[in-house]
Amino acid sequence: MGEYVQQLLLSSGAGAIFAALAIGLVLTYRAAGVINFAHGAIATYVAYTYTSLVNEGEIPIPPLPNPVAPIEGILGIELLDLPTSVDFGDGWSKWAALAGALVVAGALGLAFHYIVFRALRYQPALTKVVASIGLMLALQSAVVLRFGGARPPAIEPLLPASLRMRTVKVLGAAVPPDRFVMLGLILAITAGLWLLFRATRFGLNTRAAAEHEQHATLLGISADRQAALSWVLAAVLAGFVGVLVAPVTSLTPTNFTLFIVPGLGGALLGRFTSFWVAALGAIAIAMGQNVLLFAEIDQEWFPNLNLDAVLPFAVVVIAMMLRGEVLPGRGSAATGRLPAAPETRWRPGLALTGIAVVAVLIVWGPFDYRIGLTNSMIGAMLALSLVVVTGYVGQISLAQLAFTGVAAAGLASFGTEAGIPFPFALLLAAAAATAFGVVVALPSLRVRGSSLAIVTLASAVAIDQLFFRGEGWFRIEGNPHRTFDDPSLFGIEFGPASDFPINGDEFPTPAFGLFVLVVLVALCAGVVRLRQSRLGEQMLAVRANERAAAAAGVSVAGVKLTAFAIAAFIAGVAGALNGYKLESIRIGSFDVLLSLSLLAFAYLGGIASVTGALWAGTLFSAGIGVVVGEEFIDLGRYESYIAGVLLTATAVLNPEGIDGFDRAQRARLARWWANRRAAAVAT
Amino acid sequence: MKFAVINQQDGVIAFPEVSEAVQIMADHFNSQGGIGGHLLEIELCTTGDDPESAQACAQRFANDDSVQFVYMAAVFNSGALYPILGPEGANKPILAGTLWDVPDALQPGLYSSDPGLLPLAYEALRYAVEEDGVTNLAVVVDDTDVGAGTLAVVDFFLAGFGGAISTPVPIAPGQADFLAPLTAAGIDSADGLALLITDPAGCQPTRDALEALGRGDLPVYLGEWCVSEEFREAGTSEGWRIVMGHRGAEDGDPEAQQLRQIYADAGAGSPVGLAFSHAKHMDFARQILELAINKADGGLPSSEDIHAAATEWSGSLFIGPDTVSCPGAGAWVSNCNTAARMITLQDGEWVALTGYNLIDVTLFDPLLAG
Repeated sequence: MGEYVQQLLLSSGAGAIFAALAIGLVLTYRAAGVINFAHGAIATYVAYTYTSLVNEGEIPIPPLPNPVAPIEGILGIELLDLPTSVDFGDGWSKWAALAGALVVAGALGLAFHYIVFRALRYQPALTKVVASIGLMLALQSAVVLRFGGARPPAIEPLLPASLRMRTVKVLGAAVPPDRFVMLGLILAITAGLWLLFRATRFGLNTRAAAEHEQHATLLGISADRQAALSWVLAAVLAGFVGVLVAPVTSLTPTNFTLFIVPGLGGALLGRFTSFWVAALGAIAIAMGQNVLLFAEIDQEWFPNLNLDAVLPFAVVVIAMMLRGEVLPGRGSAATGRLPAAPETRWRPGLALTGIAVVAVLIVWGPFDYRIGLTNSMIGAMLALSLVVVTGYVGQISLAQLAFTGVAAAGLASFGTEAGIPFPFALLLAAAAATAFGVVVALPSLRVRGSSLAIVTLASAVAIDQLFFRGEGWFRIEGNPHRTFDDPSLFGIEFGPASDFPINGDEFPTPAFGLFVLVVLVALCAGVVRLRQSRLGEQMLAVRANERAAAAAGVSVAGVKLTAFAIAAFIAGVAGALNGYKLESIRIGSFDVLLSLSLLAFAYLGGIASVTGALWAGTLFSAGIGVVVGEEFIDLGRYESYIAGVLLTATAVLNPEGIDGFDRAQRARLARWWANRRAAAVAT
Repeated sequence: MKFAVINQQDGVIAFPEVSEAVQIMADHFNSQGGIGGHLLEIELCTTGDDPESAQACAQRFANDDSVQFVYMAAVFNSGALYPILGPEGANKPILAGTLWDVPDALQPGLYSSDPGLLPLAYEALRYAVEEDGVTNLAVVVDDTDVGAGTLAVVDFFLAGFGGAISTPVPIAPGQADFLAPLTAAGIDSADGLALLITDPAGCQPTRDALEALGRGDLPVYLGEWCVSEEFREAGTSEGWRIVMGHRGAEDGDPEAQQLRQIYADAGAGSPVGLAFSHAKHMDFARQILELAINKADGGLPSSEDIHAAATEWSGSLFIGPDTVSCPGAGAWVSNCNTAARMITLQDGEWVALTGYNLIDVTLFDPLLAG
């Protein structure tokens, strides 16, 4: 029992980290209505800035304010020898470095507000989620560009060695006192925030603006100013925590982003309203994780299923189911609408022309175009899955890549190992993904918007830990034996290396590309048909207003579950095809953070239309857009950074995505042409 | 002679220092007349964090008839390369730098002087129990797909050496605090710790956690991930027992000095970490290619020549036994038998604890049963 007590006490450090993230998330939500997925990335960037000041006496300049840097990176030339950092000479003392780093944090917070989130104040949750994902990608990439990604820097701890390098006995357990100090500091900050929002003019004004912006404005309260100040406060808090705990966690570009899931769990428990509940909830998650980890080691009967990593998911789901609509509504002065979901009219001529062009390129085009098109088509399928669940029904799902992993594992089991022939193995694999999709969809019956995004993200983590890793049921990790046989029908193989009469000696052969094209066309046709169907109308009704849809007799629960099921099926098909393409399973294909990128690319392309999904596919990693783009420019190390910036810019400037922009321009052109003809007729 | 290189340097996890090491060594070889009289022409294809970009690089080189072999530098998603470049694809030899996981080591047609994670983990455990006489070894393993093979090694070792090892504790990516897993692993009562993690980000937190818990004197056994210059300067690895695969890393080692001189001549500072590792890998590649050029009677070698040279290669990259060789066709062919040695950091200087120990990777054949 003493060992379990020790594990509870040893969770103080992790508890402090998760609690700090949780209260930061609550702060930005209360003040600005944003669930900031980039909160951890801010902590990372500021912590790296601190180490740079201590070790080198330099403040790095993020790539963007130095506009020449990305251009030089793209063109591969040196235009101007502009500095990438401001050099102050020798390394600074840790306290001066902390002050400098926190000034940078404040500037980041201000920039986030004025450049990005101010414009998105009245936009729906999806847009804000996408923008914060874009900022997360950009900040992480900026860290890698400035500091490199593989080697963690040396960190000067804030707390003295006398607190770090010894233990004290508490309840018979030996624990380093610095963990208690960290926890105490975070709890003190929590108390400070609670008092700030309860007893100060700033806090009251912020609450007023959140509850009813119009009335607050009439009283002379500037919601914009409150939000700006809160962003600064949240960023400074994130930066301070990053510097404080980095010696404990080590500093890498992604560590704090990975901690966001337990942080979100705590914030959700607090309904993104209560600092105390969020902090204490996050601490409880850390304690639970430690105890579960120890139980897996200590007790033979305890299953070894990474339950400690699944705990945040369990907390999130239980919180959802118990507390229902967790996030309190905001009394915004206006509310933006989701991207339009136009009815895609089936234009046979245009469709057949497009299919023919792609088929010709697959068969006769250069092999790198074939590769790019194949990757893009699979990417388009993944984006199509989001069109159904997010574009048509307004449910934000961050679990789509987890479904692809389920399908890939299913394909290996049903196809290669059980010997079930194609296409039944593929259909069974997609059905397995569908089953998972329905289970993940259950919380959506009680929650929506950003809450649902968090739940699906936690679901993806749970699936990853329970099924993919370690002794997980699918036994993917480190297992070299999970491979795929080429798909074949009536003796004709169409895998990536299957024979084909034209260009059959290049990898991949056209056989697989044509196979993927057929599947994509079928799925697109299916989704078009869905949009035109009664179910499609019901989906849009649910998206627009769930209560009104229910009042009109629509089964909201049924529509949501059906949408998730269809989306998971499509994602499963994409996962199976990706498995055929790669010929083996790699966990890297289903990384949880990649799910965020998937949502981002789908949004960039246009998340509410089939053509938007096709646009998104062109942008996918190693897709046709990258292949063609590299003929002219090489983004190289700036690829991730530019993707993050473009994504954020799209959310701010063009929420309808590339497809929406394209439709708008075509409509404009059509109007111009009609006016011209009318003028010509008149004269 | 076209020298096709695939390296991961476009994503969040990036190793640009590796392609820099490749270029520096290639320039050095070219300054001496090339390899077998053939100057090297580096063609670099970079990947991100995803398997698709890795596969695209593999396909590019598979379809290029002027490319007879590929140097796989540091690529997490190496599994995406093998169906295309391996025997069932283009059958082009892969001269690999860093091996990550079990499938890497089992890949036919892949030849590396890096023993990979499995043998290094095994050597760390063997050294602790057999040479240092540790009787209560706490074990921490990497809970990622890269580190998954280490659990198999620990189980394998348990079967062979009895109960000297505690139940291994997994550490997940982004572990918030190392105190809990280290305590769960039983370091309170252990007389040694096997730190079988693959992310160097875990080195400093482990050192700090051990110091905080009053076990800073505990001998720590691990592979070569905590040998970077930063860790040396910070004293992180002081006293730790580190298994080095193929590079001599003591400061007095003449081959290490030679590599540092090459870097200095190139005005590129000092090679550290993976850069040092790949500078040695390039020398391995040079030896293979020289053999292959001989088979081609001095002309440009074909893929078949390089395959043959790699499977027949026997030599040494360091002062040590000269019986190192590639075991030939079949499983583990990727893993040229290598000689490892245990080193430690004493007063800021790398010194050798043991002579070279030849690793017979066929020892892991029972693991192939999966």
